[in-house]
Amino acid sequence: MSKASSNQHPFTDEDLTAFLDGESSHTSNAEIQNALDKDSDLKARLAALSIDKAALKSAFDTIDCGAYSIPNAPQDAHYNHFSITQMAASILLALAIGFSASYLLPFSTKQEGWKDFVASYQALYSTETLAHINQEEADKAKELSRVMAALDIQVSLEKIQSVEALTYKRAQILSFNGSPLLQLAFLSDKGQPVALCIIKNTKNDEVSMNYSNMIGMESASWSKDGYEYLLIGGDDKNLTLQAADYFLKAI
Amino acid sequence: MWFKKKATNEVSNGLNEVYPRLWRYCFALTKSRDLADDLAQSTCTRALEKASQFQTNTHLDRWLFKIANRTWLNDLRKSAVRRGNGLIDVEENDIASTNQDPEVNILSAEVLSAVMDLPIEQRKIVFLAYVEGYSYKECADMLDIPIGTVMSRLAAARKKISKQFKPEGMGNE
Repeated sequence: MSKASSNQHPFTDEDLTAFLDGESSHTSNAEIQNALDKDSDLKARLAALSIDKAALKSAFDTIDCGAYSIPNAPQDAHYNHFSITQMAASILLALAIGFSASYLLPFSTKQEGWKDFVASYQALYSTETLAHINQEEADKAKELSRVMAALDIQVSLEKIQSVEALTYKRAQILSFNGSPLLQLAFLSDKGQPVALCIIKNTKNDEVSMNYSNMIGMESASWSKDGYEYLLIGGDDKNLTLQAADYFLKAI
Repeated sequence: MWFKKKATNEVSNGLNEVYPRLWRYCFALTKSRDLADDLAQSTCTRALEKASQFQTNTHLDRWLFKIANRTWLNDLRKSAVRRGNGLIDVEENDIASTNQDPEVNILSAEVLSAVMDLPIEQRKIVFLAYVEGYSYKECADMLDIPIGTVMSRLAAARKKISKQFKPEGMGNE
């Protein structure tokens, strides 16, 4: 707290700010008002804290976000689209036949949102996160085999290391909502961290390649043979396209 | 599940209306249009994921500002600084102005520049209190800080920006 210079009125700058902001519950407005009539120092201090709030608000009003679109709701919020009537009917039906209503409601266990979590995690990676990793080939192969086994995927180290412009660094088993999420980490020729992440596809559908930019990183995602894939990292769109195409065929 | 459904609907239906203000707050935090886009989008995504936790019939705007603040602190700022986008002067941004009066634009640019030069902790409270018009208590709740801290940061910010743009008279306060 900045104390007042005046001995008569030890108002702090915070008191004066609250006075200027009309926050009467945090200061004694009447006392300050009374003191202002007699104390020129206090007036000067108040002036030194005064700003043109209208100009400030107007200045920010000139900032326009431009065209925008709201992201889609995650699909595990399926009940959003389930009408109250349908829900009531389901509950009644469940009661009538003695089943739990939960069997009848279209809730999904789909793990939507995992890509956003991966993107946030990947955004924290830097060149230094991976540059020091230099395992022997045998160790790399052993680690890859152990990690891929978590999702029953078989792929050789040779295939993983054959993608152009990416140097394979390591494999890790992460977890999302209790399910294994595999991360294969690479460094691009430009030194940018890139990750191929794989999770079980609970919907069991096939989704063709989608490209997007997530938190400033290029990304490609697809699903195939019961797994979902996300390749993310770096700012080289061509590299992402080529590498994603390679992994789609290789795994 | 009724309350979850209601909360989810309230969030997904309300995002569109709050988005321009949310984006503006993100711009005040990040000082960059691109990063504000990223932060606003991430905030919406997280809000939709956590929509069932939103307390219905409360203030969606304050909840979103809170998420934006945490997202910026926890994730995006680190990545932005790493990518070299973190420290951008406001003059470098192509702030879209809807005002055609050049004098007003110059004044707005000066005011924005003064506010954007404030340290982030002061800048966000100045924005929430003086641009959005939230009370001290509301600011404290959104930022998870004591009211005394709100007051001291506003006082410090006022001292700095008052030198650059004073009110024409006390009537502006």
